[in-house]
Amino acid sequence: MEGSSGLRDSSAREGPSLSQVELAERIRWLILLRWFAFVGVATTILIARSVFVSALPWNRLLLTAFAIPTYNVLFYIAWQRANRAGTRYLERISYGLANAQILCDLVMLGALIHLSGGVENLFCFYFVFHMVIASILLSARAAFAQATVAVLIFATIGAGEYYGILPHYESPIGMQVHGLHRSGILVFAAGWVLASALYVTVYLATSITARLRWREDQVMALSQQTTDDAQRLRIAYDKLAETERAKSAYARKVAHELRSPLAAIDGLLRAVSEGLAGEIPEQPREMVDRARIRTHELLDVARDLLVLASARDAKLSAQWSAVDLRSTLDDIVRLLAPQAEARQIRVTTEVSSELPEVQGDPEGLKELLTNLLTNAIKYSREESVVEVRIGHRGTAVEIEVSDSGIGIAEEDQTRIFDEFYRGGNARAFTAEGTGLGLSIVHSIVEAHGGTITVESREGAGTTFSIVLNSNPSA
Amino acid sequence: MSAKAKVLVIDDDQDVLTTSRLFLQSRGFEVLTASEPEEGFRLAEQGRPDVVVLDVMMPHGTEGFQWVSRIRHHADAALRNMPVIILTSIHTTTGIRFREGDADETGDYLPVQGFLDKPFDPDELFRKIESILGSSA
Repeated sequence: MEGSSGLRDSSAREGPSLSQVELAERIRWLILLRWFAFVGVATTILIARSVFVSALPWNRLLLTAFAIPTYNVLFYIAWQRANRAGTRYLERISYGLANAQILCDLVMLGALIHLSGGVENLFCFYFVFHMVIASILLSARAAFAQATVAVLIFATIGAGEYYGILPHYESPIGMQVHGLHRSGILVFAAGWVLASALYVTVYLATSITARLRWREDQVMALSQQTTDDAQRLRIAYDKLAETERAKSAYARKVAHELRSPLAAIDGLLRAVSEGLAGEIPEQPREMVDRARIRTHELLDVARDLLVLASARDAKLSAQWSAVDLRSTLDDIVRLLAPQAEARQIRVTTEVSSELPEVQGDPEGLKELLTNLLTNAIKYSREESVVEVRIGHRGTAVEIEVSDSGIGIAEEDQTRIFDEFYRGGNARAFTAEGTGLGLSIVHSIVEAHGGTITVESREGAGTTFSIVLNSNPSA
Repeated sequence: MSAKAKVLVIDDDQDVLTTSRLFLQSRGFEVLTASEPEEGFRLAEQGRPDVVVLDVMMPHGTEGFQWVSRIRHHADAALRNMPVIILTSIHTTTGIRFREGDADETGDYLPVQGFLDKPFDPDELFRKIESILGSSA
């Protein structure tokens, strides 16, 4: 039965029913089985001939036995030709081929039984095997029909020998009821026992087979449904990815287009505010300064959107190189020192010795550390401490940024990496912030194949932990 | 800083030209402005600025590249060596065509004296010009 699963898989794609494809494959199995059956029959006859001194027609028995390989060759040729003609043709003829084979086997078994003891021959119960095969291969109706054929063959032998139409050969291993073939009631009884045995066998075997087929169909249907669902999911995912790309491209375009006019507005406002275009009174100047602050907020959003789009598009990877996080962190701490000092926040750093360089995007990693540190400073209370630790375990580089600031409420923690999302207490603490900083951090970590986790308690502080592989391609 | 150093600003954005002019004038520079590369080239030849501030992306594409190429191949040595500050963010993504410093031997890069990402901070532009003029003084 090897190879049947392959046949099944290919057919499942083309659509034909499983049982038909399986039947075509089992016909091959039946043909193979028949070679063994022939060897068994021929060996039995030869051994019996040498053991028993009986008047059985050994030559005729052998001749009959040789009919088995003869028609088996014909069936094999028919199966091969059908196989070459294609799956569809094989399916069409396989049912008839199976019926014909079983029919031939029944006739052959009948002939062998007749030549070796008739109704007295214990081999008559070999009809049961054919019933099991018929029940597996054929429909219940066809299996019952085959059982009827077997009963008819047996009845023909019984009746033929009883009425003297057919000669009777005494079996050396028969039921030891010599003369049984001449007793009408005993012949009928033997026929009745065999017929009931065959019909019950067919009933049981077809019931079990039907149940198994039903289950197999269910499994196949489920499997097909899973395949279809997976396909649908893939299409949906591709569409989503496409939408994400379009969204990202759009955000980048919009942000890019916004930056130049916003910068021009800021420049003009600054010129007005500084009196470069002529002196202005105090109140309008204050209003211009407020307008500049709002313009800067927009510039920050446009800038963050551009960075986010770049991180999402994994464009960063084109510029990967070995990054020394120690010097990157030092630069950032120096850059942010005025912000920290303004609020009397102390920034401490702890970088493990022999920290490996990280293969990554220098700008992206700088952005990542800057955003985390800026957030930590921004949401810390005055005169507190912000700690940055960078350690390593093997090739894994671990970055931790901790503050004892306002913290993140538990319900906000699952959403802090969403675009434009800012926690309620963060908004209350300061209006400043685009809500894109942590989205950028998350995207950069993802682009580097790392992980980011957050531990926070509202009012007590926050720790962001990032793990990056220093050599992702290794 | 040399008194009344001359700066030529070439950008197709009139507002950038206006603000650049106002800021640089307020810091004591003489400012020439051009909204087109051709006009800028003419002003460079006639006005002999000490520094050129040039936008790369202009209405017809990356005309700033051609502008630098032309000036670097000018017959007049003073123009050939004129300091140029490029206004762009392109160099950070492509890393080609321009390189800060002197002309390289391969000729693959056009030498410029500085880059400024757009949108730029006028104070930064001022510092850049100062440092170029300081080093060339």
